Amino acid sequence: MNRKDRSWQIGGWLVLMGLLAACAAPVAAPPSTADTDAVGATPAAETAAMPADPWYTAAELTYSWINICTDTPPQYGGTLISAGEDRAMTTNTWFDASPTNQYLFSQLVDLSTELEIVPDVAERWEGNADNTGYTFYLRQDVTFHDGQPLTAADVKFSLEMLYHEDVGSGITGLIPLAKIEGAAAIDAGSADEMSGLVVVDDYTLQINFTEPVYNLVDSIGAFNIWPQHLLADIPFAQLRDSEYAKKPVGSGPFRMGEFVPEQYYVFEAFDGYFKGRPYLDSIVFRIGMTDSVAWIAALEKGEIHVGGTILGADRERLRENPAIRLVGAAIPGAFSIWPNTERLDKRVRQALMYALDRQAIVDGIFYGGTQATVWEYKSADPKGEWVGPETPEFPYDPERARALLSEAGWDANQELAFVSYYTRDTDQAAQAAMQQYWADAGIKVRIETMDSGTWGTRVYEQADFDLAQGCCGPANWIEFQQWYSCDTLYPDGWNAPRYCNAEVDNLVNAAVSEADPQQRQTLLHQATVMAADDLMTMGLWSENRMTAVRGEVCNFRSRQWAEPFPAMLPETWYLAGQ
Amino acid sequence: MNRYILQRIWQSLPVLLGITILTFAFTELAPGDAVTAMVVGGQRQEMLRNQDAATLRRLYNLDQPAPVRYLRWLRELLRGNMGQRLITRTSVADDLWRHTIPTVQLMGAALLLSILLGIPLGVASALHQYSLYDYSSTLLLFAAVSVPGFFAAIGAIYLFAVVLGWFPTSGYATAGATFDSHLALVADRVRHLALPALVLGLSSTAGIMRYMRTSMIEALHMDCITTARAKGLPERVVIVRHVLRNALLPVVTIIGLHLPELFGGTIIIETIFNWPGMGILYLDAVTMRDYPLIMSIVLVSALVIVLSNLLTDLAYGFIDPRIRYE
Amino acid sequence: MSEPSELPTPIAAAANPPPRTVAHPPSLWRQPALRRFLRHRLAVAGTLFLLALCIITFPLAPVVTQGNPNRVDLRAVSQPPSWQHPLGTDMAGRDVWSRLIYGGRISLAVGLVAVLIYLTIGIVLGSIAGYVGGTVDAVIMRITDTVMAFPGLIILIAIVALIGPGLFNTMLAIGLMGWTGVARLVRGQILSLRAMDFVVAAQGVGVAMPGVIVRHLLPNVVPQILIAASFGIAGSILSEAGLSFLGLGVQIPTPSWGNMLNAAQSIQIIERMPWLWLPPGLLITLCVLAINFIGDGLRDALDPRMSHKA
Repeated sequence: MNRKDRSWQIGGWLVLMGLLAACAAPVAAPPSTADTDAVGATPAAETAAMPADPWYTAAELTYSWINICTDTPPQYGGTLISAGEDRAMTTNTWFDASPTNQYLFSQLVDLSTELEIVPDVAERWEGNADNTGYTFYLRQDVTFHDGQPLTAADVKFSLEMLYHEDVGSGITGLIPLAKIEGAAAIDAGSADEMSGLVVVDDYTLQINFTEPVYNLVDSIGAFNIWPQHLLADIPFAQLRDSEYAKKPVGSGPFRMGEFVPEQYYVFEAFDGYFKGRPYLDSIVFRIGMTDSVAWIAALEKGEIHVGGTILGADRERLRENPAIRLVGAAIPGAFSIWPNTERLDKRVRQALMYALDRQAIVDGIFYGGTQATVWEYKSADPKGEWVGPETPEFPYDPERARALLSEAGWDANQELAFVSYYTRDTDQAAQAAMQQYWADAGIKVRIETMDSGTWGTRVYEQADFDLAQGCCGPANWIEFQQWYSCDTLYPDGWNAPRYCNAEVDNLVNAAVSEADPQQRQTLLHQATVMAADDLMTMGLWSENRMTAVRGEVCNFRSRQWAEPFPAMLPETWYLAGQ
Repeated sequence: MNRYILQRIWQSLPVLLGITILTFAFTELAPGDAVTAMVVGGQRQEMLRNQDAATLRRLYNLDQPAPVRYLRWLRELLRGNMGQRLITRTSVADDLWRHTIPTVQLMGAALLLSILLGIPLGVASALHQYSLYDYSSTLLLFAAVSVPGFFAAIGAIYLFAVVLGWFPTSGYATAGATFDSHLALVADRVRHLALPALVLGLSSTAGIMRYMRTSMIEALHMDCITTARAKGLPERVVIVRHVLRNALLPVVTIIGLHLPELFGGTIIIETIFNWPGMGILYLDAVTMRDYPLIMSIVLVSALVIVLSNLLTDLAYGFIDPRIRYE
Repeated sequence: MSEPSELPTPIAAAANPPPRTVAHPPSLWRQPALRRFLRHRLAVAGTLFLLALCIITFPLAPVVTQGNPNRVDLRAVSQPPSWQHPLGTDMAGRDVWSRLIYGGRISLAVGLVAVLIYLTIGIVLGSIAGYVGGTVDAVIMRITDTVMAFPGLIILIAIVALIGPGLFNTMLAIGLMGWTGVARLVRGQILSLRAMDFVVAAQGVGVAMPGVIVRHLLPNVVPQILIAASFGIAGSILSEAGLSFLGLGVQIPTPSWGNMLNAAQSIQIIERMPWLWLPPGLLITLCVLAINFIGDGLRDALDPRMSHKA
C-alpha cells in the first residue's frame, strides 16, 4: 500500500492504543478504611497514626457500615448523585415511601448504626412508674425549613395524622397508636384529637396510654414530624394531591428542591438545621434506577456516587473495584422459607432443615460467605433481649433428617410444592441446591415460580402450598406478635405459615402486659424457643447488605436493621476532592 | 378511499370495545387483586399489619362485583375520565401522558434507525448475494436476534457509555441539570436516546434487512425487470424505480408489524436504561393488578395497533396498484 | 409487467429455461425440485446440522454427556472449562456441557412446535383473508387486530393460572400469541399475487380455491414464511425462558438454552464468564442460520429461475 494508506493505518493503531490505555488506567479514589472484605466490626487493626485533630474515632475505623476517609477531612460543598435505592423515595408519591425520611424530616429519637437509641429532636425522656405515660422533652432550637419552630404541637399533630385512616402511611404497626388514650374516640368519630397526647408546653409532650407499653423508645422514632401549621388545613384524604406533597417541608438537614416526576428530585442543604449545615450542597436522586445493570454501569463510570445493593457475581465485581466501597452489615432477618404448618408435620419441617447444608450453600453461592452468613434464630437478636439462648439450631445432619422422616411416616413419592417469586441468579442457584439436598434426603420438591400477585393468592388466600419463599422472618418481637399469632390467620391477618400455637400466643401476650422486665424477657425467651423448635419460619441465611458507593463519598453510612432503620446521618456526608 | 377509511374506523369501534371487555376479564381471571399484590411490595407490608383483607378491599372499592366495576370504569371513560390508580389514587391520565412521550420518542427513533439501516443493508445484500458482505452481515444480525435483549443493552452500555464515554449509561435526561439554550436541551435528550434506540432497533433491523433482501431477490428476477433492462434503462433506475417498488410490499408489512411490537416489547430496554416509558408502566400496573391503569394502557396500545394496521393497508394500495379493496 | 419476454438477457443465467410465468406449474413438486435443493450446499448443510442436533440432544444425550445435567456441586461453582467440565460449570456448580445438550431438547422442541403452531394458524387465516377478500377479510383482520392488541403480560398470567404451567402449554401460549404477524404477512403477499395472470388462468380452468392457494399462491410466499420461521424459532426459544418468571417454560432445575442465557444478566458474567452464555447463544444463532439457508434452498428449489451457484 502507498504511504498515505500506511500513515492512516499507523494512526489507527495509535488511536486504538490510546483507547486501550485509557480504559486500563484505574480511577483512583481516596484511601479509606471501609474494609470491603470484613463485615461488621473488625478487631482494631493496625492502622496509620490518626491525624492530630481527628474527624473519626478509632472505633469507627473498624465499622463496615461507615466509609471513613482517612486522608480527607470534612469539607463543605459538592453535589451527591444517588441512584435512590437506599431508602430514598423512588417513586412519585411521598406518603407511600418508607416510614422515616432522614433527609427531609427529623424524628423524636434515632436508632444509631451501632444499634443504640440516641436523642434527635427529643433531648431526653422519662416514663412513669407503671409505663402508662411517657414525657418527651424537646430541643428548643429545631426549626422547619420555612423558619417556623418545631414544637410539641407538631409532634402531637403528626401522631394524630398517622393514626387517621385517610393517611395510611403504613407505620401504624410499629408504634402502638391504638393504645393511646383517646384513640377509641377518634375511631368512633366522636373526637378529632387524641386526649392522651398532652402538650404540656411548647417543648414538652406527654403521651398517655390505656395500658402499659414497654420500650416505647424503641419504636417512637418511627415517624416523621410534620409541620402542623402547613398541614392542619388540608383534609387528610387530599394530602397526596396537595401542593405540599410535591414540595414537603420538614425539619431535616435537607430541604426539597426541584422535582421532576419519573426522572429525579433534588435535596438542598438546609442552613438552619439544628445540628449544623450539612457538608453537601445538594443531593440529586435519580428516580427508578433500580435495575442493577443501570446503576452498576453508572457507578463504575462515575455518573453517580451512591448505588444500590446487590448479590452475586456483580457484587464481586464491585468489591474488586478499587474506586468503589461496599458499606453496610449483616441484617438480622433471614432469607426464609415459610412452611405451611397446617400441611407439614413438625418432624417433616425439622427434617427439611437438617437436610440442608447451609454452610456449603453460603460458601459456594455467596462467595465464601462474604455476601451472606448462615442464620440461626439467635442471629435476629444478638443481645438476647427477646430470643432465648436455648433456641434450637439446625446444623447439617442428613441422618437425623432421614430418621425424622421415617418417624413421621413420610411417603417418598409425595411431592412438595415450593412457591417463589424470587428470580435473581443467586436465588435460582440456591433453589437448585436446596432441591438437591432435599432429594438426597428423600424429599421430592417441585419449584414453582410465579409472579408476585399470584404468589400472594396461592399463599394467603388459597393456602395452596407446602413451602413459600419469603423474606425476612421476625426481626423484633413486635413483628412476632403481629404476624404469627392465631389471631392473624388470613383473612384476619397475614400469617403466611398459618402458624397457630396457643401456648406461644399466651406467652407473648403475657409478656406484653408484664411489668417486670426480667420476667418479660423470660416469657419471650420461652416463646421464641418454642416457635423456633416449631420452625414457624425456616430462616436460612442472612444477607450482608452492603450499599455500593464511590470511595470519595466520605462518612457515608448505611445499615439495615429492624425498622425503623438506623439513621444514616446524611448531614455528615461529604465528598472528597471538592 | 375515503369510504374505505371510514369503514375501517367504523369497524374498529367494536374491536376496541371488545378489547376492553376481554382485558378486564383477563385481569379478573389473573390470580390476585391489588390487595394480594400489595402484600409482596415491601413498603406496604407495614400497612397490612393492622388491616385485614376485607377492610383493605373495602377501602379500595375492590369489594364490588366485577361487572359493576367494569361498567363504572366505562362510564367514566366515556365522560373523558380515565380514572385513578387503585392504591395511590394518582390520576391515570397523568401517569399515561408522562410515559407516552418518552415511548413515542424511543419508538420513533428505533423505527427510523431500523428503516434507515435495514433497507439499504438488505438491498446491498440482495445485489451482492452470497458475497462475503452478505454472509457477514447476515451472521451478525442473526446473532443479535438469537440472544435476549439485555445482552445488546449491556454490551452497548459498557462499550459506548462506560468505556468510550460517548453516551450516558441510562436515563431520560441528565438529572438536576439546567440548560442555557434549547439546542443544549435537545442535544442532551438525543444523547440519552441514542443507546436505547440503537438496542431497540437492532432486532427490527435484522428483520427488515432479511425481508428486504429476499423480496429484492425475487423482484430482481421478474419479467418486467428483464424488459426494463432490455429497454436500455440505466441499472440504477431499474433498481430503484422497478425492483424496489416491487420488493417493498412485505417490508411495509413488517414495518407495520414492528410498530405495535415496539410499543409493548420495550419492558427490558426501559428497565435497563431507566427509560420512563409505557413498558415499565404496564409492568408496574400488572404486578400491582392496578386495573384502571391496565385498561387505559391497553386501550391506548390497541388504538396504536388499529391505526398502524390501517396505515399499512393503505400503504399497500400505494405501492401495489393491483391491490384493490372491495 | 405481465408481458412475457422471449429475449435472452445478459443478466439471467443462460442455463435457465425461458421465463413464462412468475410461479411454477405443479409438476415441479417432484424430483427436479429435490435435486435443485440438494445442489444448494448451504441448505443441505443447514438440514444436516439440524438433524445432527436433534439426534445428539434426543437419543444420544446420555452417551455424549456424563449423564446428569442437574447435579449441583457447590465446591465447583462458576469454574472455567477444564477436562472434567469441557464447558465449565455454572453458578450452582452444574456441568454446562450437559446442560447444553439436555437443554437442546427443550429449546428445539419449543422452537419447532411453537413456530409450527403459529405458522399453521397464520398461513390459513392469512391466505383465506387475502384471497377471498371482502367481508371475510374484514372479519379475519379485525380478529387479528384484537389479538395483536392484547397486552401479553396480563393474559399470560391469567392463562397460566387457568391451564397451568408446563411445556406444551408454553408452546401453545407462544404459538397463540405469535400468529398475527404471519397472517398479515401472508395476506399482504396474496393480495398482490391474486390479480396475476396465472391465478386468473387457474381459476378459469376451474381449479378450486384451496388448490389455487396451495399450489399456486403459497409457493411464492414460502421464502417470506421461512424467514418468519427462522426468526420465530429464536423468538420462541427466548420467550420460553423470558416468561419463566411467570411460571411458564421449564422450572428449576431443568435447563434450556433460553434460561442458560437468562442467567447472564450481569456485566460480570458477560465479561468474565463467557462459557456460561456463548454456547447456548451460538447454538441458537446456528439454528436461525440453518433455517434461513434451508429457506434459501427451498426458494431455489421451488422456483428454478432463482437458483444461483450456491
